Amino acid sequence: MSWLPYIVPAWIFVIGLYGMATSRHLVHLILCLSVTQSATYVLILMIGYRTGATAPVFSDVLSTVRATDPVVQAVTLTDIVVGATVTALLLAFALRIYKTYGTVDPQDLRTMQG
Amino acid sequence: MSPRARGVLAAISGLALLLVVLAGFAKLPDFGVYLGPYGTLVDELAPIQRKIPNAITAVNFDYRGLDTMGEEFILFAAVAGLTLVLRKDRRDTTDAPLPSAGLRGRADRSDAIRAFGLAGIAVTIAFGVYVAIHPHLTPGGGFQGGTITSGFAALIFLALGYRPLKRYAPHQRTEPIEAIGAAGYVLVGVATLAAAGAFLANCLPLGASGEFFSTGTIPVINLCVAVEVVAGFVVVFGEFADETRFEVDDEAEVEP
Amino acid sequence: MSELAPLAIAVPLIASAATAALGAFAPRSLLAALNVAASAFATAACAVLARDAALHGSVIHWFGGWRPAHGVSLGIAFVVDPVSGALAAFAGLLTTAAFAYAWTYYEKDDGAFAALLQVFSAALIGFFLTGDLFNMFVFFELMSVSAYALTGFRSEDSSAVQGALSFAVVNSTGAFLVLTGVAIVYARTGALLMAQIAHSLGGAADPLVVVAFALIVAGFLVKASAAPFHFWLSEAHAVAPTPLCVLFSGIMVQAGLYAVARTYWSVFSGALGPHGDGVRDVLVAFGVLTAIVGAVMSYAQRHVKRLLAFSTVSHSGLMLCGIGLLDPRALGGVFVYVLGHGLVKGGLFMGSGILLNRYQTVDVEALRGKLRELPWLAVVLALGALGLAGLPPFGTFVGATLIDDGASRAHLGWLTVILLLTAALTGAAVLNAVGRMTFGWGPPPDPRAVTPGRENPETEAATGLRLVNMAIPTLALIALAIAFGFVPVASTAVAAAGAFADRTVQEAVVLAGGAPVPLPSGPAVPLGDGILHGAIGGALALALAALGLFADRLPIWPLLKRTYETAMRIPHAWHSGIVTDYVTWLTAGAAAFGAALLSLTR
Repeated sequence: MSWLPYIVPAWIFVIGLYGMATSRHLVHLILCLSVTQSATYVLILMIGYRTGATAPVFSDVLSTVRATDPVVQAVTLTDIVVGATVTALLLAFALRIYKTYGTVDPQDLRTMQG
Repeated sequence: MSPRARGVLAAISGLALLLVVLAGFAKLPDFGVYLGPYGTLVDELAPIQRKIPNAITAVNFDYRGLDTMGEEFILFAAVAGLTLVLRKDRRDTTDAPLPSAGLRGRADRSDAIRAFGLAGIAVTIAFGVYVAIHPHLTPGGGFQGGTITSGFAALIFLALGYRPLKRYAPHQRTEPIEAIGAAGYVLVGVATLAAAGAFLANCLPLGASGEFFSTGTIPVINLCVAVEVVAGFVVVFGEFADETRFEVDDEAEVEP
Repeated sequence: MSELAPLAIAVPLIASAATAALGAFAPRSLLAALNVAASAFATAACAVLARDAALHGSVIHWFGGWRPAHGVSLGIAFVVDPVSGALAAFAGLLTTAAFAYAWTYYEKDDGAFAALLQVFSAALIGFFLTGDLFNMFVFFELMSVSAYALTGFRSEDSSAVQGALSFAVVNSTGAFLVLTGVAIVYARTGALLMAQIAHSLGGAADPLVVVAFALIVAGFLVKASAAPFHFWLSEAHAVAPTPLCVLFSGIMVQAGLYAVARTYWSVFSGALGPHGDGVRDVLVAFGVLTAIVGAVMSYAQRHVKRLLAFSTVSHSGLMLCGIGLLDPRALGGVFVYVLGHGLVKGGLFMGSGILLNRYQTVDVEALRGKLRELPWLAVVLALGALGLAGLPPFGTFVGATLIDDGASRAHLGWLTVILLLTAALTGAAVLNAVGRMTFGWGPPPDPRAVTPGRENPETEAATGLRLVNMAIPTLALIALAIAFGFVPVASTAVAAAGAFADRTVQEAVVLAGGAPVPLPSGPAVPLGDGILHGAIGGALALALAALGLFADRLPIWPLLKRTYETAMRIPHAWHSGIVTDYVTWLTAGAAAFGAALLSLTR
């Protein structure tokens, strides 16, 4: 085993950023933001993983069994809630922008130039 | 920037950021090796200290319960903000009969969708509640179960339509319920602060490990979370359902 | 006493939920009283905690009662030192002022505005008090989400939602940078409590530690609106309700800066200490860039709220320089500056809110000569401008003096000149606007320039009692800003910053349960040079404002005008208003920040 698997979250993070930067549709942009965020889930869960370990729920197994890190899983749950709620709020913004301007292309939304 | 210039700059800086991040990731412990000590210690101690088999829930609702409290208020704030933004221009119209323009009427909903949707409501609620109330024993908890349960609102909308959704889950009722769930979490914290001297410290009997009524304050906090999550997501479904009541063209004011 | 720490966030959160639940039924006056009382309680609790921390050492509250066992922490702690307590109290104070000012806001909105503002202030307080890195991220997100929602509050105003979207996209991306950094530091140390991370990291830095530091700090710099992460700020401020701008500019941006200082001193200072020079160079470089971009853009604005927003960018750069010097004296100066600047900027934003309320616009050209009707407001705005320039006795000058001391101790004398000039330029920007709005001075605007549209009024035009409601907090903040300069706070601030930066004592107290250490008395701080400096700053601000107002009478005016307009095209092009551009700049900035740190700390 090595650090090579960690290329996956790094790539997801950066490709999400690239998707946001080149986006021509707000919904696409918001989903790219979710892609970037999912890189953090992948990274955090990978960090707590132990080869051959079971889930840290000791209902059916003895508590002495080798288990993964429960902290990263709790942290990921918090992260997912943040992601879901921010996405919902952003989609509401996008909907409102569409109703006002009739467009969702960021390129056309430049009233704030300054 | 022109789209082309932006694409080039984004690609170059994205690659640069990738290299920077990988320079750090290269020094991570090998994949599959977890050094601890935090998680290892929780795995060891949670079943003893809290008589709880599910160590993740112990972290969520006890060891790091403050994080979860913040998380519940993130949901609360997002729902309040979403409601503000979407409801602003159609205040007080949700009770009155609305124009049905642009809506798919009851007529073109197939019998199969209605049958499976109605059957799905019961299954969804049963499964969601089951997941929501067993956080201490099995994987799951108020958030996961609450999200599943709230799916009933989407199924009502799908199978029966807009008006039944508004009848069974009016926002006048769901919004205060959501706020009560959020406040409940904090009130548990204040009560334990008074009783045990530390915010969110357990002050209830732990019971026997594996029993339904065990692990002290955790099921109480979990219930608050479940209530808030169900109500919060039902509010969200309701708000987006309200959006279908308008023809988009009526609202669009394209500015030059 | 430590029970007050969780109550400082619990009470505002309960008030928030109660406001949301009762919003539709309860009388408005009851809700208003409830919210002001909750904010006042949080303010008082934090002030008491700060005082306690100064007298007896850090106040620590272990959530769930989980004290560390065998040097390993299971839970989350609030660690209140004099600095975090004072900043949390200041956040509470500004919230209380905002509630008092916003009395009129939540008449029509089911209390949603008040509920969200209460969540926002609780998040700020938690963010300052927490001693846990992941918990800090949670409060960071809570602060952000409530702020996005509040920014989009005037959603009938077409641009408000758009500003909120830019704000949300850029800040969320910054939060993910923070989280990535926290994750890899957790992989290395297996800890989330700051004191324990610092303990595990020890004194050795490798690329993982540097990259973790770079990602966390870059993420917090988004909130601190450092260039090139600052683009969201002017958009969010331009559209946000006025009471919110007071909090955004007065404390939220500074919370990002506080987090940078916290991250360095409480977590990474041991590991990165040997590379301190490299870290200092990078932070100061970003600070200088921010101070200049903000000041130049501020001077070019004719929309008063955008002008003040860019001025906040500039002052944030100034404070980032102070933090970047990695010197307790300069750090103490930054904390004094946060309070001094927050009071001045708060007063200025509230003044702009009165303009918006009365004239339905904050466009300087549309308001030409109008301010004659409110001479007291013109005086208040002009005084605030001099406060921004650092004229004694405004509290800003005390902070600037300490930061300058730190700069000369680091042999960066040139930094003093840049900070003086940029602060003077932000003051000149406001004075220029006041001159135009009051006396109608200054060359007329270019007729080809786009005229900003009429703003939607935030509230119905206030008269009588309601105007008094808005005027009292405005005057109070400016008066406090002046009075603050007379408080002998400099020496205590340096001592408090010294305790803030002392990682070893924090580790001993938090992790090993050692006895808290009371604040030692600070060194004497002579302010003589600072007074002279501040006077020069004030004079410079007047001169630069006069240049903007009367340069058209100079013979070289056409050349001057053409050169200025050509030069300004570049920064104007950066601030394009396109959110995808901002994401691109953020990516480039984060990559540059990380690469610079990696190469300078080798």
